[in-house]
Amino acid sequence: MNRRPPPALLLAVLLALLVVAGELVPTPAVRAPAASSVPVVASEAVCPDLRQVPPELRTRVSAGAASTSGGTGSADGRALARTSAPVPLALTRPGEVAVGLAQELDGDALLVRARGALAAGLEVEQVTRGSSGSQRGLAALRCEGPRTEGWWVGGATTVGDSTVLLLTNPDDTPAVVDVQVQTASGRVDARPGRGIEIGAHARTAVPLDRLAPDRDLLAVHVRATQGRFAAGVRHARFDGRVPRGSDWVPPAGTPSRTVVVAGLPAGPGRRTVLVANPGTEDTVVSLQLATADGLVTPPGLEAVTVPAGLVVAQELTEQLAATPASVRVVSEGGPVLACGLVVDAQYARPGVPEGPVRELAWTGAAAALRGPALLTDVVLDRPTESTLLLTAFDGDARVQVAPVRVVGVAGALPRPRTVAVAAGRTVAVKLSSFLPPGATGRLAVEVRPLPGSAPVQAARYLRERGVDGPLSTLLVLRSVPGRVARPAVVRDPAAGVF
Amino acid sequence: AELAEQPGLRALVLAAAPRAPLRYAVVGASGARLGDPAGHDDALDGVVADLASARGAAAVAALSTRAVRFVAVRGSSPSLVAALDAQAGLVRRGDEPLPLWQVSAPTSRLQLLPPAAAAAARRGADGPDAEVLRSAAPVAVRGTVPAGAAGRLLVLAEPAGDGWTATVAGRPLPRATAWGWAQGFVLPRTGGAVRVAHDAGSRGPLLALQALLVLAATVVAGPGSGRSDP
Repeated sequence: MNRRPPPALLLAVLLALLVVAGELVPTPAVRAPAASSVPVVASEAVCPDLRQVPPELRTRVSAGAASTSGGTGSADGRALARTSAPVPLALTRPGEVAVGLAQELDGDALLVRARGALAAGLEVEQVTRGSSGSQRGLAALRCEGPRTEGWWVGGATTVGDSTVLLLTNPDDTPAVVDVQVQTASGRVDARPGRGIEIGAHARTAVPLDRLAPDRDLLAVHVRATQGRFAAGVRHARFDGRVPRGSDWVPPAGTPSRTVVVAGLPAGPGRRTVLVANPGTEDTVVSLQLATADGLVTPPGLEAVTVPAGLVVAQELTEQLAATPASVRVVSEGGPVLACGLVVDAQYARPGVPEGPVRELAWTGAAAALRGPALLTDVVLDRPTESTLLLTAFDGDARVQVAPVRVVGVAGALPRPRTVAVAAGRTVAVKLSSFLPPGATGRLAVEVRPLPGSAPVQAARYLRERGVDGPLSTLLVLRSVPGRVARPAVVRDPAAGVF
Repeated sequence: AELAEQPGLRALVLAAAPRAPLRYAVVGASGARLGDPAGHDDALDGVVADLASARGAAAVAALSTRAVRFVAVRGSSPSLVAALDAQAGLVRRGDEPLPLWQVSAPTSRLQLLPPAAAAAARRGADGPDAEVLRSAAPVAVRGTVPAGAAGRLLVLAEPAGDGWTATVAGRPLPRATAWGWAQGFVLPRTGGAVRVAHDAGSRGPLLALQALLVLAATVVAGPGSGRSDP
């Protein structure tokens, strides 16, 4: 296996360690410093797929840093394949957002690196808008730093659905990952997904029908046996010649006994919550909805069985026809994963029959905001609305929504606003309300829970009224890391004596 | 005594225990000066703490400037193992008997910095990042340096001011401090054979014994020795 070392190497190292024991005289540690929390000093984000097929398909990238601290920093972007030199981004301090990045990159991934005060609050988003054909739809994705493990719940490989796992490796050394898929009918053969290599500064696309052909309700587990990766799961649906939508499946976090799926918008179309059980024993989950009118557990959803290794879907279309909501999944047994699928149809208008075109949007597991979260892509024009969906399950929450300057956009910044979210409710805030009525523009906003607020989850719903039908996508907001734990260390030669 | 001929194989050993500070030691096959409690490399505490955190500091680059090629973890600490797995530039090499990582950048006891990197190293206490290290060239301990531009720096993976001297083609080199801690030597434009020496006092016999043991270990552990592959 990949983790197996050459035994000779290990032996040599261990013998060398033993050798040194003779020289080192153990001394008692004199200092015992305390663990601390320190600012992040450098961070990376990978936007996995910058496709440009003008005029039908365009990808836009926006980046900024939430205001976690003062000071200045720098950020640059470069093609993953390193075909060009890094380009400095027009960002110098937290509380600014740059838009329209990397438009010249096509068919590659973008690596954004930030240093100094920009590193702690870095937030990067890519949004792809396709206007026709199998690419039709809005698909948004948070560009995340490389990781060693992750789960994605969503997508399908049945007829008409295509789901692709895009793996990128921004590091100087190759990465090797194991990909495991579980589905509506259980775990699939793990062997084809083992040992997938991603070269240094390279991308690998894994069509999931290769690992799990003709399966519905996918849950994908990616674990690096060597190196690091950033990943995206792209799901597109096509019915003969009619586009049925596309979106990125967001990361599902780590398995947990309580999962909040945030930001299911109101509107016509199917709403479904997927629950995956990655464990080895069946569990029973309850689904609780925080709607605009309060907390409800619809009949039949107090106890939904999720067998081990399976993914189950629970439809909530009826309950959510007229209200936005977030869903809390609580497992009585082992930890679970959950995501939400929103299928949008055009709102009916008098005299205009509902067309066949659909659009889909995935939303993922949302952690409660612990500090500022930055939304870098807020497009407001006549057919496009950006809506912030805020949910508080456990008490009254108060959040501040503050517009952030977009570099190159002149004019006065709209005033921040405080939004109250009563316990057990979901509130939808149309971000166009920050502009004068009828105005269009480009914004970025910072969302931050105020002191004393109950835990609150947030998501952004971007929806455009297209000619043939809606274009929509969802993004779960997350607090930027800001500060991280750093352990106390003590030099102790005895630690090296075996 | 002249710098030992063994490759600068060093390992950082981290010993994790619940509710206690992370203990560490740097051990090496030859002259484990970094493990010496009287050593002058005070920045090493910060490097080790950064290595175990997710703050994005260039801790792995700092290890390679110290000729540390391996990192091992003693004691069960899944969070520490996860933190090291998430460090760019560390490649996991094994799990048994201890989780072990290798520093992927070339590690060398002697490195030649080009003038730009050399000037930055002499200016600041900040260690190099991976990009700067890529511009450095490893130099064999008994190797030669080519002729080149003025302002190059030869950096030894040892704390500065600790009795180290170096010559190129027999000419002693002026000393300088790199990154606030490492022993550097200012190179002339001319090249030649490099000799690095240290007045190690009475450690000679012990070092010789260690050298012998390391040699034995290398022979025993060498590829194809004593065991045929299944």
